[in-house]
Amino acid sequence: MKKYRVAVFLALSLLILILCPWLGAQAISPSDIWGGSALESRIFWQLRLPRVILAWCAGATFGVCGMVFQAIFRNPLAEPSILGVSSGAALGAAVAIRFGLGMGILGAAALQTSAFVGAMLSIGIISTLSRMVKGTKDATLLLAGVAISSLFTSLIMVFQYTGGAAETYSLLSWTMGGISAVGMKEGLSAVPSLAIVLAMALRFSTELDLMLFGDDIASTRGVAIERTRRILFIGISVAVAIVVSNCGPIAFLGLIAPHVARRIVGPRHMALSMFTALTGGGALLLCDTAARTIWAPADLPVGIIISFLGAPFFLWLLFGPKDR
Amino acid sequence: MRSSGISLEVSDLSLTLEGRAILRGIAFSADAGDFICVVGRNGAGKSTLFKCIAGIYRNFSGAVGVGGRRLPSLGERDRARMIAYVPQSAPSNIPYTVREFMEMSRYSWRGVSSLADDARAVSEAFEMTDTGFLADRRMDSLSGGERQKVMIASAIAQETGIILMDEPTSYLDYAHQAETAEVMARVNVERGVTMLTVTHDVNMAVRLSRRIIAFSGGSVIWSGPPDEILDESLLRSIYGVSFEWYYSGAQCGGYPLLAPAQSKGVLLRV
Repeated sequence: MKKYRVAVFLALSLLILILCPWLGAQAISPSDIWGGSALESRIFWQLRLPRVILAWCAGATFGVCGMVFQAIFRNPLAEPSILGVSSGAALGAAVAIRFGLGMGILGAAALQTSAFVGAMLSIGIISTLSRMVKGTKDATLLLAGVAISSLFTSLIMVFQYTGGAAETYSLLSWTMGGISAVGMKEGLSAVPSLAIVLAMALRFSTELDLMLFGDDIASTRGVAIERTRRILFIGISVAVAIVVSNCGPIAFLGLIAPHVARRIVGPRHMALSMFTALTGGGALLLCDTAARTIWAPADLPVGIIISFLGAPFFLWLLFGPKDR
Repeated sequence: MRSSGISLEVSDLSLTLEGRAILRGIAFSADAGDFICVVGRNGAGKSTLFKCIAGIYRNFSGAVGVGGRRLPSLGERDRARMIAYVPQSAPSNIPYTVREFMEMSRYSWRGVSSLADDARAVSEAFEMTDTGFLADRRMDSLSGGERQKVMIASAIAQETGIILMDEPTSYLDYAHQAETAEVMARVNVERGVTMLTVTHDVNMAVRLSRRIIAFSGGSVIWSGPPDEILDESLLRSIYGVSFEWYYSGAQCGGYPLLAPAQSKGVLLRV
């Protein structure tokens, strides 16, 4: 049964990756891209494929970040956007955009550094709070995340409201979460973030497995809790900063992807990291393909579609049929 | 690869948590292969002492020496190859199978012992604790007693020279209590592992240990060989109640059985 599920899942993941580049407002056939008409070939290589790669890597990154947070905080509802990490990164990026740091040669680096500082700020607050309220209800942590998130979002709105028209529009569409890439360089921009979190999740898979038992058992089995946590926090902040500054804060993926993957391969973090990446990547790619196809030639922010499909799906996960 | 018994030396250990002195100047030592029971009332600081030795609390003052090395300078993995810890209660919502958990408990030996060695350690621990039949069950489907036995099995699989058990029998029925006591004795005798156990049960302490340490108000108020604790006024000062003594001869190893004297109000059925 489980083997059958894994096989179907892998086939689906592959199918999504193979099919999505061909779908879109402009029909493109495989023969077009090799020396076919110059326009179609350019659309495919300069727009379609970079966007597919960016969407997949960003989705996979959000998924794996969510999985790591769920293990570290021992909370099935933890994920970067609920804990306010995404909005921290978004605030950092918004500051950079608002004050014009995002322009020029050093633009991308400044944007990402600023987003990283914002993400670390959120994680710092959250992890300090979680250490202070140790032993109280899990809900406390999530509520703290919600509070931080709404605080940072309100600051972003201040920037949106006080900025010029162009800035405000770019901030607004960016905070809705959208994938756009022109050229392969932008297309590959989320590859490092995925590489970082996935390498970390695989390297620390046994530590994450043990952290599910709580600090006492994990540390007496030999896990260097504080050090492991610090490394994971920094890695996640870097990854979230890169993805958020490219695609905006996309909610829900970090929550849903690990839960779907757990149903397919179980709770061990070695296999779970890879399947979470496949789930998150596939889901965001699928939603982004829908975003640029449904109302073509209009391009919906993908965050809207993720939330629209993700919310009911998550409710089904929570309340739907359970099987073990 | 396996550690043999390791000695333990605690000197002048104090710990203050949230402004409250939990432990005050604790000092004792355990030889390699010793079996020590720590007794005392709730809140006396027994569990906290074990958490200090296990490396969970690190902000204590004083010194803990393990096999001649000082505790804070030991890395987590080095420490976990020397000291195993069985908590008073383990989380009940763990989704792994028992076998997976046992394998994870070999974490500290990773890169040191071979995979074959890990497999042997796990299967020996299953055998010693008679828990092999649970191997493919998920942890979250176990009963409280089964979970406790698996926690003990995982500490044995860790193959340390010292095992700390915090009230290993408090949630167990009589049969499981007896089995657990036997497992502890076997690990101590057959492997020479230094055992330290927190317990309320003075009867178990007397029958199982080589030495008893009595705690009250965060300090050691008495320590000595088991038969010397069988003193009415000493027991009253440790537990705050008087005991009734039942002599039952050979079947209890020659030791009397103690039961707290019932105050008159407690017996509802008169």
